[in-house]
Amino acid sequence: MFKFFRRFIPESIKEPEDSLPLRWITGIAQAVGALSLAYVTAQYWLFPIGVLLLAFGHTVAYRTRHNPQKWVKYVGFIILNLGVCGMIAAIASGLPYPQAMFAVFAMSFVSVEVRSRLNLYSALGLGFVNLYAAATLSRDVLYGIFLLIFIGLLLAFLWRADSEDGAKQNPYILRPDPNADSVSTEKKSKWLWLGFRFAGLSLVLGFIIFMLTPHFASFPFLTPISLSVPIEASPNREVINPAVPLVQIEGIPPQDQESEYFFGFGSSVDLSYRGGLSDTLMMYVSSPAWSYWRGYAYDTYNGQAWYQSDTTVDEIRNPTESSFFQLREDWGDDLFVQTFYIQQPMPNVLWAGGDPALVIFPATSIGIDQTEGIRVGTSLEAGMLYTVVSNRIDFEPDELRRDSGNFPENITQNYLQLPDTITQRTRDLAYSLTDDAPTNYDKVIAVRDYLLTTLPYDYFPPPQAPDTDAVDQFLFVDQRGFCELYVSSMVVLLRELGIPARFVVGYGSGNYNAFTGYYEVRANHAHSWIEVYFADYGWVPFDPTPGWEGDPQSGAVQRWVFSSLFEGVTLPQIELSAVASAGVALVSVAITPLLWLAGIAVLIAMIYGTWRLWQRWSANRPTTYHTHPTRRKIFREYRRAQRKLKVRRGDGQTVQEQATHHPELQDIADAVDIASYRPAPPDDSLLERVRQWIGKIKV
Amino acid sequence: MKRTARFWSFLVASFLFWGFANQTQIGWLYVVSAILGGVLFAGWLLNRSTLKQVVITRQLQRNLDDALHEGDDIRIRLTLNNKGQLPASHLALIETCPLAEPDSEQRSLRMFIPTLQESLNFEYETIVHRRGLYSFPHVQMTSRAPFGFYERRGEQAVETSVLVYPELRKLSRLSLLDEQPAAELANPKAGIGSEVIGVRPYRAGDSPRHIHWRSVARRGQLISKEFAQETQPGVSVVLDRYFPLYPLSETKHQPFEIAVKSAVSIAEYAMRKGYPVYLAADNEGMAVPQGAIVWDALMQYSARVNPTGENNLADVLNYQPMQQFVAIVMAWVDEAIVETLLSMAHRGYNLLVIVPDPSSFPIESQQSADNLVSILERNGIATRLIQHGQDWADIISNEPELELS
Repeated sequence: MFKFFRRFIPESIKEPEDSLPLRWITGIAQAVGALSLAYVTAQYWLFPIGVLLLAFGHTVAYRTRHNPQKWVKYVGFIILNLGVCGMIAAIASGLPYPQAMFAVFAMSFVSVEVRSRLNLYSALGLGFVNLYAAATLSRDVLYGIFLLIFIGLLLAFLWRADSEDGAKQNPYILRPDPNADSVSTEKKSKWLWLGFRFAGLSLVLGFIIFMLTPHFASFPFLTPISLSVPIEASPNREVINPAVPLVQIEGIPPQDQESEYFFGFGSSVDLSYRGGLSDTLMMYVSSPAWSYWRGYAYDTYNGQAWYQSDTTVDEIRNPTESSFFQLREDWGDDLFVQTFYIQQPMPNVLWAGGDPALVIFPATSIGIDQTEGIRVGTSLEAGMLYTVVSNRIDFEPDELRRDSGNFPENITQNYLQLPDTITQRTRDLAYSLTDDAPTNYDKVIAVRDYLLTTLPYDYFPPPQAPDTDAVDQFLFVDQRGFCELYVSSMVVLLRELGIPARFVVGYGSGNYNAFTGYYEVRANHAHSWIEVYFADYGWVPFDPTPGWEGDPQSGAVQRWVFSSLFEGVTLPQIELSAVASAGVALVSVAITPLLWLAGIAVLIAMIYGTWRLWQRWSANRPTTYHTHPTRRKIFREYRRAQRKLKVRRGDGQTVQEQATHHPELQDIADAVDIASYRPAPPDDSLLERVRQWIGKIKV
Repeated sequence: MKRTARFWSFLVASFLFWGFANQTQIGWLYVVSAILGGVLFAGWLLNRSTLKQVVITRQLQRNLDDALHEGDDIRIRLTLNNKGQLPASHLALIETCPLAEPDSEQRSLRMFIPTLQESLNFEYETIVHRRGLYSFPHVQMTSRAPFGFYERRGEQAVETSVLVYPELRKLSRLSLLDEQPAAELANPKAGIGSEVIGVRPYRAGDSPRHIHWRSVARRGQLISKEFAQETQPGVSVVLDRYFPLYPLSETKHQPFEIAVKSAVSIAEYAMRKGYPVYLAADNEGMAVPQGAIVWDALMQYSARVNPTGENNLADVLNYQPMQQFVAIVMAWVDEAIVETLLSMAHRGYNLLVIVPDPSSFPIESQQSADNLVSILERNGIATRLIQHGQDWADIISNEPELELS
């Protein structure tokens, strides 16, 4: 296949490349790629090792560019295989980012084969691959510096290559007179001006493109795949690398991690708690749509705290042992994909935006609690990643106003509960606020707006008085508070009006970083809001806390710099849900045999490669006289004959040449030729004859 | 402007990164995609002005007073000035020098300018291959600046015209004239008749007997009498412009070119010997100077004259006035002209026929002049057969060896 494509490549760039400057630029660019990867993974040792290997590889490649050595290929092949083995070993030993290590080493090892201009382009491409891998792991703007340096070097390479090509293709090269005043400040400034102008133009135009390019996300054509190799992986492994090709090779979770589900993140919300949260970065979320990241909900209020009345979890077990857990049979058309990058230890809750339909998480089973919270068997650890595909929650007010209000019995049983601590003035407030509201939706909005606009937000309201209802104290005594108090109040007021509602905990969207494309979610983005049940539409989120989003439904599935200007304008979307469903199902079913097939293919490739190497080595093995005992003996006899005649063969003399001076040795010399060069080894009769000839030699 | 493979590679990479970003929602990939796009745009913007900012001038390094003849050396200097604010780079130029021999290295000079900040000079030397009026074609320019994403091609007109005279060989002798009685030849006076029609400044070679002493006394310088009556025999140089295969190429190795050079050299010899020279040729497309021709007119005509496809030599000989001595320089072999020539010989004209042999030239013609030459010689008409590669001036100057039978 490579040969097919190679025919379209100009011959000129397949020739050995003699340019040292181009090689230097390539090497430095590759080193920048390695450095970027070392930096973002914090595996700084990768850089010096990578640079040393690059220096070695390029030196060998440069020296052998006109006469490629076969051993280089063999060694390269072996080292690459060792690299794969090393990566697997790294997974098993728990070293972080084994793929990053492999990317750096692979780039460095193959530099021994960089002989032609085409190879230099490929080497730059590998550098770009490293940079790409770094981009998938980078969370800060320093990566931009690596990117700019690399692109600068790439352009320097192109500039230099064009200059050298021009000089090669044209017989006359016109250069400024070196004796002329060519280094004046004015002339230098021209070059600086050109450089600044190009760099400036590139960046400005790039920025404009970046701003004008829609950053919406399609359903992944290549859904993240986690390939499990049959080794036990360290707990601190990466879970899913979202980079294309979206494949992460990982080990099987240790058996001791398959423990009982536990319901961390608090089994209840105590409203007497006071205080703010830190600015610690908890996770990054890449998502094309704005959303709150929901954890789970509470249904029962006792006047002081919220808790779950039913803590049972419905287990979803994946029979194919792949990472895909489909939560819904029928997916909507309005999907968006979120990937969560956990930065701090978290409870065993998978945060998710919208209405989750598919979870991609490396486990054999996950659980869904009674409030649609997604639970996993292990707490989330720093470095873990997982992906959730969700339906957008997006309802128009008019739709909700038309809701029938015919709530199912299980909803009214669980989500209209109120404790006896609710005061009469609280109940009265509920009715007074919604006197003029004709529909449930209008009542919800009336209560929410009252809370949003009447009561100021305060992290430190007065302490909760004993034996009092927290909602009452908030609404009528303190009249200020934090999100849990607003949410509790709204749930209580709505339940009083007969509208099912529940208390939801999770994280706000976080701060969106347009450059990295991540929502940066910090500890103080932890939040609570309310979900109201509409009989025809299900649970719809509202947020009564001032300073937050009052209507926290999913944003449009698009993301670009001007999204806010085009709020309400939805870009055309690629509706791939059906195709995606089929694809996921296919992958789920086929993943195990595919893994086996891939493993077998790799094994066959390695065996074949080793066999080919052995064949080549055998074919090229020199046939020397000492490879067979009879050959060795004949030559030994020849030396004995020399000793008998007291002669020695000169350094530049062949056996036959010596025999011309000593005819007594002629027959023995012929026998030595047979022993040395005939493919079939001589038999013992020849040896015997040689001995006889030696016996006849007279001194 | 042509987009290069490099452009498409970057564009594909940009879209690929956008696609990856779209799939993974990794913001940096959108940034990479956008920067690659920005680089392409910036390259396009800067590439646009690359050729416009370069101004080329050409100088011929030769004294303008010196006439330029075929075979002379000439030095040409190109000066490239960057009139833009930014340095230009990666310029490839093709200078076509029409004066140089076709297919020679100097004919098409390919040069490369890695960087051009203010100005650069390029000098080259060539041998002028052939007579003619030449205009240098436009200088072709190509630039892939700044990073090879686009290839812009252009031309710049650098007006330079050169008139190249034919090669002039000074003949050592010419039997047509040299075999005449000395008394007829030596007539060193201004003018060719016996009637005095005026005076003019003395020229070297004028007979002292024709000095007009009265005018000398009046003006204080030597003044000669000028005579009008054309009784002195003149020389007609007849150039046969018929050459059916013209133009074969720009090479000078063609019979017509030999004919022109021969005609000019014969005329020069005659002038040197004091004969008035009259040029006769077909007037098709280019009128022949009338009357006794002066040197400059002869050179201008001979530099520009081209052959025609019409065979009008017989008409020229029959209807244009001929002098006593007629040198007929043919460019093609036409045996039909024999009759006319014999007629002229019978009428008392002294004839010399120069015939380049077409079959000996590197042209697609097997036509040999041998038969024509033998007919003419049998009839006593002096003929010179010029084969390609021979020293034509030597052949014209010398008598052919008589074959002893």
